[in-house]
Amino acid sequence: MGSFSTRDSNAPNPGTFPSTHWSAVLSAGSGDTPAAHNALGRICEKYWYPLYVYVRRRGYRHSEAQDLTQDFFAFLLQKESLRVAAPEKGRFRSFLLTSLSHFLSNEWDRQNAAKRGGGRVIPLSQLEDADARFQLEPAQSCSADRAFEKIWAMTLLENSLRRMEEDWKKHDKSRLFEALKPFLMAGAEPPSYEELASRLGMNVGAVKMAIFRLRRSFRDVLCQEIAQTVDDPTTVEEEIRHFIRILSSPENTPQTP
Amino acid sequence: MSTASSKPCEKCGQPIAAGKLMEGLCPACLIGGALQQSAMQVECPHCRQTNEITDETASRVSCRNCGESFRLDLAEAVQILDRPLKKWGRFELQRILGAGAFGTVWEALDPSLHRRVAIKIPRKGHFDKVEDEERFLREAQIAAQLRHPGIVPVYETSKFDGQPFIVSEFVEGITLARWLKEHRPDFRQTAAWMASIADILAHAHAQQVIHRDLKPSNILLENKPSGGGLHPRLMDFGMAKRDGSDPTLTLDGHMLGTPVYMSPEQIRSSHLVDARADIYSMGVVLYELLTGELPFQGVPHMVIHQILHDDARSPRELNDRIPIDLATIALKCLEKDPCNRYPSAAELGEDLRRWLAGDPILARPAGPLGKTVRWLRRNPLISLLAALLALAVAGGFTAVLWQWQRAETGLREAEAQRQKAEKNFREARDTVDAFYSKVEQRLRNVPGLQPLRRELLEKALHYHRNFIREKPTDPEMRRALAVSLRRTGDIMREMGNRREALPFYQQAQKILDDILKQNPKRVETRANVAQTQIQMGDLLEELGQPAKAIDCYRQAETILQDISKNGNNPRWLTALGGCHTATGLAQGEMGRQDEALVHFKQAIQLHEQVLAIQPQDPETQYLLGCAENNQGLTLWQMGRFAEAADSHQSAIRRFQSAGADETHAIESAIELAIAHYNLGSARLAQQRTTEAAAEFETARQLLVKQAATNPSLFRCREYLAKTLGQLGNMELAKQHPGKALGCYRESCRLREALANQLPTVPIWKDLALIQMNQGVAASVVNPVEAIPYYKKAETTLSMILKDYPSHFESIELLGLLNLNHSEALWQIGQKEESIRYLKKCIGQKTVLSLQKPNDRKLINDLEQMKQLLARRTGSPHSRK
Repeated sequence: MGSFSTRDSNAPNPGTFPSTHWSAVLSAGSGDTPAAHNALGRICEKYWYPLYVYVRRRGYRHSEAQDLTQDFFAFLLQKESLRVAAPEKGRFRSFLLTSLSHFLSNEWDRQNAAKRGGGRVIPLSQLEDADARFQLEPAQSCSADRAFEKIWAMTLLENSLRRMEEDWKKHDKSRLFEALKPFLMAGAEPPSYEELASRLGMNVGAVKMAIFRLRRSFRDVLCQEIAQTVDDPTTVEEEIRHFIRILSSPENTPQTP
Repeated sequence: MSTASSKPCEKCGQPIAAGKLMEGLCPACLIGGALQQSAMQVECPHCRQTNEITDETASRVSCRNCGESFRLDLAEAVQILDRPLKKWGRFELQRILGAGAFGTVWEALDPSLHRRVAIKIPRKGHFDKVEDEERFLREAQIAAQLRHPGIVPVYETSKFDGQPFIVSEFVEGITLARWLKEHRPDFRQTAAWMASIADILAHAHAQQVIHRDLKPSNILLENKPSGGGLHPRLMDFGMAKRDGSDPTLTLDGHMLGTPVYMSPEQIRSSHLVDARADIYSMGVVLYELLTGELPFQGVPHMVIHQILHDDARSPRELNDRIPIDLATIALKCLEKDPCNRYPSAAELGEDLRRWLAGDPILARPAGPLGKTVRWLRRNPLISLLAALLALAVAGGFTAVLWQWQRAETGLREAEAQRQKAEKNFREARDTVDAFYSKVEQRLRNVPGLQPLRRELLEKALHYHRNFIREKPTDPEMRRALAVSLRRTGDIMREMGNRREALPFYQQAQKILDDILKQNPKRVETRANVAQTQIQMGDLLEELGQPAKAIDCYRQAETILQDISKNGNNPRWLTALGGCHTATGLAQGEMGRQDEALVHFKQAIQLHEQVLAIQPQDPETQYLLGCAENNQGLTLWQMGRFAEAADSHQSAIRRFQSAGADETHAIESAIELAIAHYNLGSARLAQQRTTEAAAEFETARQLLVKQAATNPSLFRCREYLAKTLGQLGNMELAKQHPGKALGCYRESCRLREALANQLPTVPIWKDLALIQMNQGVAASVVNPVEAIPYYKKAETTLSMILKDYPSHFESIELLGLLNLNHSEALWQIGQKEESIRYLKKCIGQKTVLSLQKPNDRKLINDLEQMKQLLARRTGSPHSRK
């Protein structure tokens, strides 16, 4: 039903919000149009690692989790899983988590997905590395759901930073990016603008301007990334607040004996 | 990558990330940063005036003070401002004040007036229809007319980027909901706040504005600079979502908001509430402030059931320190019947002030008798009979049998004892019977009571089985045994064991035949035979044997006619009417419409006769409606559309009348909706499309409401899917493919769920139909989009035809589908494929025409298709 979905996503958005992948998938209704399929595939590729972590946290070994994550995506892309009407459809993140938890608890679906095989979504090499990455995750006292949310937020930040890094690299500003990156954090300011400016060979005003621009573009990129995973652009800020809560919640601090 | 080093962040104490990209960064602070900085101030190198820069991509700017242009990288950056600059129309959104099911509320700056405002932006997709959105804005405008210091004023309503929004005063304070998270008001504070809120509501009610959504999150506690503590103010007047459907439920029965503060009448029919609905909500808030708990708790469906049927616990049961008068005031507000609440907010406010002043209040607590009476009034049959049944089954039966046996073996002087035993036995049996014939049917459609129903069914089954085991020989007891056997059959059937039910009916029949031989005139026995025959007929009908069913009905009919010929006993007339309706249905099943019509007419006549004896009897009204509905459908099948419409109109009146009685409310509501749907179909056939559309819309609204309160009712969802399909057809006819597709999509979703739940041929066929219709609607816009739908419909149909290769309607549909498919393919230039489908279609129509050689339309269609094929393939085919 692409003709209607494109009409939706071409509708003028408020300037700061890009058209969203997830809403394109949703408005296609059944996820089986090529456009919806591609859009879904693209966001899945970006966010497979939080799902892998969730599976691991549910007690599966690396090899099992590898297969299950892969199968889950195959299931998601092949089965008309988007038809399952649910309020959590508004957020791709919640939709994925709910679907995955159903998937894991449903032997029938799992076997079916396994049988269907084929359709690998995540590059195998990345999945191979997943275990090494998982081992580096701090021991957490929180639930698998919470771990998923946290890793999701981290993935989101990483994806945003990666986009920016590539962008600044294109303009030969990798060094500047590296130097200014820490000031993306809330309330972070260099101990001395003068010192930083002289180190970078710039004047103080230009450094301030660069930090300002970096922050603005980080905010935009992050909003765009989030907007791809929600159906309603006005909820982006709500999402950011949610992630702040997730990342600052005390359950995330490593347990000290 | 997303790993953490052991060192925590200095600022927030969260672990700092490791890995190349995130090295040394604290994720929590990083994402927090995204919410902050968005503007910066620079100093103009010419006049030293500070300029605010919001567009970081500009390289040169003009100074607002001196007008000189300067390069940004040369300017002195003064300060990075911590202020987001998200725009919404002319407003600058600054922070989210709250977010919920409805949407988001922002604190914003109105730069033109330099004032802080609150902007409420509904979630995209919150409004199903344009009319809803318009009403939302209209109501906000009406609310904007309200002038009261306790009402947060609405400044303006507008639209930005197609989304409506409301701008109101920004109030420095927090909502009562937030406040309650950390505080509890004392009793005086509670009464004072509630009295203030009652005054505010009284003002609004006097202007004919009902709040409809009063709850702690809509009550703002303002911290006035002048002091004097927190003052409640109300916001969001009249903004509760409101259409024919339940405001809190989606089609699937999912909750959008909380029903906790909603009055029973608002749950039943959200558009028919008056000011007393707000009084009810006041009662819930008062209850919550007094006790710290809500009167009804649990998952939304449970809460709804409780709001409709249960009394709230007295606040004093939760805390005996709560003043009796305040508890009484809360409970008076929470009365189910609006007439028993305070008649106005003003009077509620006065009673609260009486309490504050230490004067006696006017409200009186309801005593235990009042409570019981109220409960019984709401659940008269259920409460009484369920209680009696429990007694009869638990103790009565054993005692009765014991008494009976003693009487049998006893001497003549035991006659009195025997009579007593018989009387007791009869009482027990009548109770169990009454349960089965009355209560069980009522319970069948009551949401939330299914476990109780099953439990009672099992108890009744236990009773009958015990009795059968006794194998009594006395004729009177043998008759009772037959009844028990029949009831056992009924219950087996009801519980889904249809095949096991048949032998019980047969045994019952055999015993009754024996008794009848001994005493052929006895009316009770003969009525029992008739009843057993009808039940057996129903069972056979369910087992797909309509011919055998008709035989049973015929026997029952003969007996009932004979019994009822000398007099006007409503019981026999009703039974005979039911028998005719059943026969009519079975005849219709066998394709004998003429026969069916005769029986429906007789049924209607008989029920009307009963109605003359018992005017307004809801049961009879309901049965009449059913018979008329069936008659209408048969007339429709026969092409007599005007008569069909009359019949359905009459059925609508019957169901409306029956539905007014609470015991018949649910089943009548569903049948009423179906009657509207049927009337719509008849009007459509008469080509009176406007009327048809109105009927379908009415049906949709009724069904959505029913489906929401009781999503497990299959029949309700089935008809909702049908209605949406028809509405889609009508939109398509009006050249609104987008709207049509919306209806079809919703219908398709429902049908898929139904097909999963009960995979029967008609349901699968309907699913294929709606899938095809989606294609037809899509093809209006772009034929390419239609193809996937057609493919899907083809798959569904091929699944049916795999198991039922000669299913007429499916072949018929497949023919149509292939034609549509062929047309779409032709339009997008896939000519070869198109012709292949056209040929398939011709093949199918040919098969059908062999089955129905007299169907003129079919033959004509076939001929036209052959001509089309000839034109498209370029091969000569003579035109006739």
